[in-house]
Amino acid sequence: MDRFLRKIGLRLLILAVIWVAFTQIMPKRLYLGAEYARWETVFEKISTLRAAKQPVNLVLGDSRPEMGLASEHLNAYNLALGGTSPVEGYYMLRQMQDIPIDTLYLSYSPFHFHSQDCFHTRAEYFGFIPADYIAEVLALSRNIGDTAYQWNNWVWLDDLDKNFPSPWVQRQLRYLPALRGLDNYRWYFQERAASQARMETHQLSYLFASDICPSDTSVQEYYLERNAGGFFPNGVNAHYFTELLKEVGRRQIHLVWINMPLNKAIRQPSQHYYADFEAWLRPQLPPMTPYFPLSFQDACDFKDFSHLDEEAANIFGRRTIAWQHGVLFP
Amino acid sequence: MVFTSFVFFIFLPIVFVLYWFVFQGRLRAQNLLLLVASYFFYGWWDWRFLSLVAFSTVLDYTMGRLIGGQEDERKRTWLLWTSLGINLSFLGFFKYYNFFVSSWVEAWASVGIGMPDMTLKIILPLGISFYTFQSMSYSLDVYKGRLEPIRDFLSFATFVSFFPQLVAGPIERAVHFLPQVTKPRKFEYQNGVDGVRLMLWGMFKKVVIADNLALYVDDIFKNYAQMSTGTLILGAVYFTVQVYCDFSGYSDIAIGVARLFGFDLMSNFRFPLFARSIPEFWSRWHISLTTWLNDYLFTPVSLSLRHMRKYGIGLAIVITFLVSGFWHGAKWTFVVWGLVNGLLFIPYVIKGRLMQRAEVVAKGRWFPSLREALQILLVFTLWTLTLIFFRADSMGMALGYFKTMATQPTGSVMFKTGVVYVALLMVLDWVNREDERNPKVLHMGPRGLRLAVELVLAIIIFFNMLNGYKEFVYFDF
Repeated sequence: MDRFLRKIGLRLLILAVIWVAFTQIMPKRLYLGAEYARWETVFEKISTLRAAKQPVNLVLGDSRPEMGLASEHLNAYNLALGGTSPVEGYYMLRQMQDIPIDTLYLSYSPFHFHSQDCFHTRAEYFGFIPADYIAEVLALSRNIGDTAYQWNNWVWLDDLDKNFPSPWVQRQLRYLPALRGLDNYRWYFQERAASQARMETHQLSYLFASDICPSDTSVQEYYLERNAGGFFPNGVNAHYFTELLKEVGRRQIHLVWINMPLNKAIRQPSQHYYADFEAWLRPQLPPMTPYFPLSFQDACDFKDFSHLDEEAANIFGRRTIAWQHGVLFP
Repeated sequence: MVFTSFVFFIFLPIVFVLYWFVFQGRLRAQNLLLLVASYFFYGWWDWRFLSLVAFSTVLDYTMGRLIGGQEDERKRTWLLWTSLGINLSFLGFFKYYNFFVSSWVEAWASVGIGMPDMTLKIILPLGISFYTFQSMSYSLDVYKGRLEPIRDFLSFATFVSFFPQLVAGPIERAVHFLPQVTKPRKFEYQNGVDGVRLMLWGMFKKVVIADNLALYVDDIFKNYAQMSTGTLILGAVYFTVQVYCDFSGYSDIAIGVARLFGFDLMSNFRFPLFARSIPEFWSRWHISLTTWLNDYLFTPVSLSLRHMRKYGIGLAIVITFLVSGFWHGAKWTFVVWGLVNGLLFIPYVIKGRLMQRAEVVAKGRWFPSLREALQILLVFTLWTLTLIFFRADSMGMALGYFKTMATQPTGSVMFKTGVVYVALLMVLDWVNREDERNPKVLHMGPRGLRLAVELVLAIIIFFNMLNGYKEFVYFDF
């Protein structure tokens, strides 16, 4: 038995050493995969835009504009990030204090007003958003009793604090869900450079071709189920959305609100939900804000259930600029 | 609790230490520990259904005693049928009630008569098909006189609920397992090491191969109507490998864990994907269920139909496979899957070649002969096609999948990267193929190489586990 335990113990020890070395030494970009690279590209772009002399146009939002709005047609940099809500959008705008912005295309889907699904696993973990801002968001969520931000994927934050007081252990646990496996090494070395170059050529829009017509449901259905009674934004998102709009007004940025097209497969059971969303949203926006209304498109325009494919993204980009000209110069 | 969840890696060492260090040398205490641990393991999923396991245990223990103590053959038979009837009633209610009710309603609806929908919201208790068959085998063996009824209830309860194989098999036989429960056990170093290696190998198959292929399979089957012939063929092949790695991986882990506690569970898979004929395939796939059905269903049915000669054997095989299909799930797709597999036996029945050699293919050689390779390819192809019924959510989907596969030859082939997992499994399984209980890839080469292979496998498994676990396919049955 002793020999057996020594043998197993030795192997566990070696594995523990490898694990600690891996999480402590390796740069995150090596094992965090595509989402990290997207954030990295966007934040690098923010850094380079600081040198801009002329005002620039920007897109902020979640994954729907990130992948479904070919922003080159708007002459705008697409800084939208998948999974984000106005919480991240407000922070990013604040970060761009010294960048002259002419027009801001803003687009968050209704789902990102009443939930957070990537705040901890991307915004917090990736480290582009500093700890004091994260703490500010969490403090607000505690004060107003908004529980959505109290969950880190599968871990309730209070339990984490209670059971694992050591910050080092907490960090290991918080970071577990974000690790995606060794597959990402291959992705990093083989595809990352090409992916980032491609983003650069499309003013950072993250476009994907597709030849399928996805009609299965996705994360949207989950959110709709949770909100079957209608659209109810949570406190933290509503607060930071207001702050974001205030910041836009303070800096006299031209605001354009874009509702990205949704897969028509979702349309039938959720009319009420979308009507609630638009009824809530429109009074929040400054008067006279150009407002691209919600629309639904055929499933074949999508690369997956939620995101337009490359061809549809280009068509939508051209359509958006034509619509904007029509609104501004009727 | 699932073998590939993190909580299992806390649970297992605790039970192991208590078993060998605290209760060592005290058989009843060890058995009691295993019983408590097994109920905890099962209750982690849903404690309410522990009552079903307990009921099944008490029922078959009591019936075994009554049957064993009864001299009158008619009364013995009556007791056996009572035991089987109660066991199958529970299984039938939880697993098949909604199927029969909805089929009944649909049948009337097809002739324009509306019937009230009386389906219920029933949760399928985890592993009910497995532990019910296991405890039923005890009553059957006692009835047949293969086994003396056991007096020690604790040992019997440990046999029914032994956690490594409680929820997905292998379906152990009382004649093989009960003597192990009643005999003192001693830790053997080599047995322990081999057990851990087998666990490692099973986890690799499940977490790395099966769970990664599942991503492709789910996408392809969900969107099959938009896929090309090539993609659908890949989807079917991926599912074949996924379900094999998923289930044989579970069995390997179960056998490995049992070894850590000094038990020997029966093999459940012997490299079926390298079978050269349909009968050989079924002597290698889900062996514990196949032999169970062979002993308790096929043999009595074929004996009762022996006057029909070959037709009787053919009919008995088809009946057995229909039951096997139905055992897997309450859906017409499973019934058709069973029927097709039964029919695939018919040519062998006609030729009188049911008893096929089950020797290792290409033993002592690196490669199979051309004839063997073609035979393996044919069996693999047939099995893959039948599994489309197994994977499809409905008959409409299965038929649609076949139709699209036959009519969309021009579209692009997507999800090609999954071939890497298939190739990896095939190569490693080919190397291992001489001994399913001691994977050669973990036993060959010098000590340093073995250590490196173990560590690399463990790291790959760990990283893949962080993606979140997928339930074992056979948990649905």
